[in-house]
Amino acid sequence: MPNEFGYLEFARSLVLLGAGLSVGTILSVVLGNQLKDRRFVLVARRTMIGAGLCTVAAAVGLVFGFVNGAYERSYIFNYSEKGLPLGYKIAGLWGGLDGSILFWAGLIGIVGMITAFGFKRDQKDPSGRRLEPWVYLVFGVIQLFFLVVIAYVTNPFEHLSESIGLEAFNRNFPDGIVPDGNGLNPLLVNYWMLIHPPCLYFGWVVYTVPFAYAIAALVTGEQGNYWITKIRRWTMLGWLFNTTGIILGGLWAYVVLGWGGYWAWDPVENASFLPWFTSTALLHSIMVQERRGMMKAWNAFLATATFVLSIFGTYLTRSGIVSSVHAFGSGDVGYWFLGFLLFTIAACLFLVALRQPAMRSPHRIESLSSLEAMFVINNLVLLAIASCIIILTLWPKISNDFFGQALTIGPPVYNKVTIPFFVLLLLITAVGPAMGWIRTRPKALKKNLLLPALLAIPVAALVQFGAESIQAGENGALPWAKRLYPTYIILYAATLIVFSVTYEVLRTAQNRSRRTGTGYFEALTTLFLRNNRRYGGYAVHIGMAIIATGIVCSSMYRVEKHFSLAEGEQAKIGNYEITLDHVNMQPNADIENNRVYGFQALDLKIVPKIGGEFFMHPEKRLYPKKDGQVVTEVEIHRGLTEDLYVFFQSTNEEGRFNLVVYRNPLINLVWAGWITMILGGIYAALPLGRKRVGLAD
Amino acid sequence: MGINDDPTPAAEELAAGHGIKAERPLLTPVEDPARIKWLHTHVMCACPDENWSRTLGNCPDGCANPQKGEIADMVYDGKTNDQILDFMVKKYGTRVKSSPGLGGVGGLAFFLPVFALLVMAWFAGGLVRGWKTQGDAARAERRAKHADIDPEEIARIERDLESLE
Repeated sequence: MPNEFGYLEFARSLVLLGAGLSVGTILSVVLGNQLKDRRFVLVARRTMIGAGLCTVAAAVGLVFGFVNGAYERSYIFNYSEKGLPLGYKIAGLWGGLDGSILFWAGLIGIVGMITAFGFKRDQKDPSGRRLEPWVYLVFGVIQLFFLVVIAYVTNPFEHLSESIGLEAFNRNFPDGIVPDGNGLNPLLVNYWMLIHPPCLYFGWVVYTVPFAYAIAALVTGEQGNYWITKIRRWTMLGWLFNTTGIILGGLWAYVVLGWGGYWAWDPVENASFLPWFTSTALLHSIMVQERRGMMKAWNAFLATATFVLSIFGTYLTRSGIVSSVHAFGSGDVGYWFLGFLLFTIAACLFLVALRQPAMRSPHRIESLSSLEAMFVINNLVLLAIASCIIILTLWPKISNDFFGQALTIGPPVYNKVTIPFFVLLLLITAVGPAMGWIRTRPKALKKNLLLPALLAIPVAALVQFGAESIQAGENGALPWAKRLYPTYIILYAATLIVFSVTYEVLRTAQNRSRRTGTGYFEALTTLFLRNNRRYGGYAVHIGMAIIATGIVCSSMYRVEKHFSLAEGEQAKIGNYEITLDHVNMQPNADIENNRVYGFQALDLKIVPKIGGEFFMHPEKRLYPKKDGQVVTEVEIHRGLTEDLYVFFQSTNEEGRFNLVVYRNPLINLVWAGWITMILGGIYAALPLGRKRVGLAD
Repeated sequence: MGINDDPTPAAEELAAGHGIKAERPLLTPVEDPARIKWLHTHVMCACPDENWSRTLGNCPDGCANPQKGEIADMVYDGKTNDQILDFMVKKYGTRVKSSPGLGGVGGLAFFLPVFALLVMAWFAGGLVRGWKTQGDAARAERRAKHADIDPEEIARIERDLESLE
C-alpha cells in the first residue's frame, strides 16, 4: 500500500539518502581544496562509499520486490509475473527503463567503492593523493545525477496508485492487493537476457573510472604515469565486458529475432559499439604514454570520450529520438541525459584545451615507420569509424528536423561507409607486429612482413573457396567485383593478421633461444609468461581476424529460402532434406505456469546428404498478457561449417506452414573469435610480466 | 494487458485461431536470388510494428510477405531495380529506401563521414609532421651528443640490432 513503510519504501528513501551523500562528497572535495585540509578528502571517501552502499541496497531492495512479487509497484507490475523463473524475476531489474537506470547507478556505486578502497591502499603514493579528491568529485557528480534521475524521473519504486491514480487503482484492486504482474516481454525471456545487459552495463560503468582519473589528471596537471597505469587496468576490464556485451547481444539477436543474422546497424546496437572504438583506441595509445611519455592529453581525451559515448548511447536508447528494434521507449529522461551529456562534453573540452600545453611530452615521433606512428593511425581510424557511425545514426533525425526530409539510413549505407575503414584497421593490425618502437628500418620491415604477406594470398583464397563450396552457389553466384571487395580483401587482411602475428612470435622465440642458449619451447614459454601483455594483445588480434572471417563468410555466402509445407511434404536446401513430419498444436494449453496460453510446434525431420537425420522444432507461442503477442521460437542446428536456421513464419490460408530457412556458412567463427579475444584480453590484463613503463628511449 | 482488461476472452479468441494470422506463402523466385537479396537489403520493412527499423531481409515476420511478394512479382515481370525502388517509394514513402542515394540530403550521409575523415587526416598529418620535425631535431641532437663514439662501434651495434630484428 502507498502509505505502508515496507522495505521498498525504505529502498526508495535510500536513493534520496545516496543523493544527499553524493552532495556531501562534492562539498567535501570543494571545501578540502579550498581549505587545503586532507581530512575533507577522507570525508569524501566515506560519503562516496556511503552513497554507493545506499544505491546498491536500493537496487537489492527492488530485486527483493521482484522476487517477493510486490506487484503493487508499477515497475514490478509491468516487468514481472508470478510464473517467471527466478532468474528472469531478478533480470526484471534491468528489463525496463526505470530499473535499468537504478541497476546502472548500483554498478557505479560498486565501482566507486572499489576505486575508493584502491586509494585507501595507495594512500602513500603522492600522485594518488593528488588525484584522489578529484576522482571522488567526478564520481560524486555522476552518482548525484543518476540518483536524482531515479528519484524524480524514472522512479522504479513508484506505487501503481501513483502511476494510474488512486481512483483507478481502487477500482481495479478493491482489496488493495495486486495478484499478478503483466510479465516480462517474451522476447526478453531468454537466457541471454540474464548475461548480455549486465555485461554491457558493467563495461560502460567501468569506463567511469578511467574517465574520473583522466579528469583528475587534467585538473591537477598530473604528469606521472600513476594515473595511466590505473586507467589501463580499468579500461581493459571495461573493454572485456563491453566486447562480451556486444557479442552476446549479437548472439541474442541471432537466436531470437529470426532473421538469421546478428548485426543490423540498429541505433541501439550502434550505441553499444561506440564506446568500444574509443576504449580500444585508448588501450593502444596508453602503451605510447607508458613507453614514450607521449599522448597524455590525447589519452585523457579518449578516456573522457569513452565515458561520454556510453552516456550518449544511453541517451540514444532512452530518448526515443531514433527508430530502433530494441528502444527502451521515450520520455523526459532523454532530456536529462542530453543535459548531462552536454555538460560533460563542455567540461571535458575545456579541461583538455586548458591542460594540453602542460601535458606535452619531451619525446616526439621520429619516424612514420614506428609502432607509435602505427598506434596514432590506429587511433585515428577507430575514431573515424566511431564518427561515421554517430553521423549515420543521427542522420535520419537531422534530415527530418533540419531539412524536412524523412529518410532511412540502413545497413547498405553503414557498410559502404565503414567497410573501407575496417579494412584499413585490419591491415594496420597486421602490420603492427612487424614494427618496433622509435624507428623500424625498411629492410627489417620487409623481412618481417614479406613472408606473411605472400602466404596470406593463397590461404585467404582457400578460405573464400571453402565458404563458396559450403554455399554451393545456392543463392546465385556472387559477382566478381564483390568476391574481390569486400570479401577477398577482408579475408586477406584477416589472414595476414594471423600470419604476421605467428611469424613474429616464432621469430622472437628463435632469437631468444639462440641468444640464451635455451630450447625453442622454453624460449617460447618464457616469452609468453614475461610479456603477457604483448602476447595477450596478439591473441586479441587473432580473435578479431577470426571474427572478421566469420562475418564476411556468413554474410556474403548466406543462403535464404522460403518454403510453404503441409504435413508430410518435403523441401530441399543445400545438402539438407526437410520433411514436415508432424504439427503439434495446443491452442488452449496453459503451460509454463500460465505464462504461455497456446502454441504451435512443427516437428521437422532433417536428413543431411551425409546421413545422420535429426529433428528441429520451430515454434510459435501465444502470450495472452502481452496483448496476445505471438512469439516465434527459432530453431538452430549448429554445425562446424554452417548453421541450419529455421524460422516458423506463419500458417497460410490453405493450412500450410510458411518457413524461412537459412544456411549460415562459418558463422560460428564469430563466436569462436570472441572467445579468443576475451581469453587474450584476460591474459593481457593479468599482472604477470615486467612493468614496461618508460623503456623505449 | 491493460489494467482494466480481463486477459481471458482476448486470449481465447486468439487461441481459437491459433493466435497466428494466416499469410500468403512466399516462395523465393529461383531466377535471380542474388537480386532478390539485394532488393531485400535496400528496401525497409513496412510492417507497422517495425517503425522503419529493419530491412526486408532482416524482417522474417509474415507481415512483410506482401511487400516481399510485390518485389518477387516485379522481378518476375522484368522490372529493373530502380523501377522497383521507385514503386516502393511511391507506395510506402521515402523512408522505405534503406540507402537514400547520393543526391540531396541523403547523399550528405555518405559525404559527411568522408569529409570528417579528410579533416581528421589533415589534422593527423599536421600533428605527425610536427612531431616528426621535432623528432628529427631530437635525433640530430642525440647524434651530436654521441658524436665521439667510434663509427666502427656504431656500425657494430647497428649490425647487432639488425640481427635481433
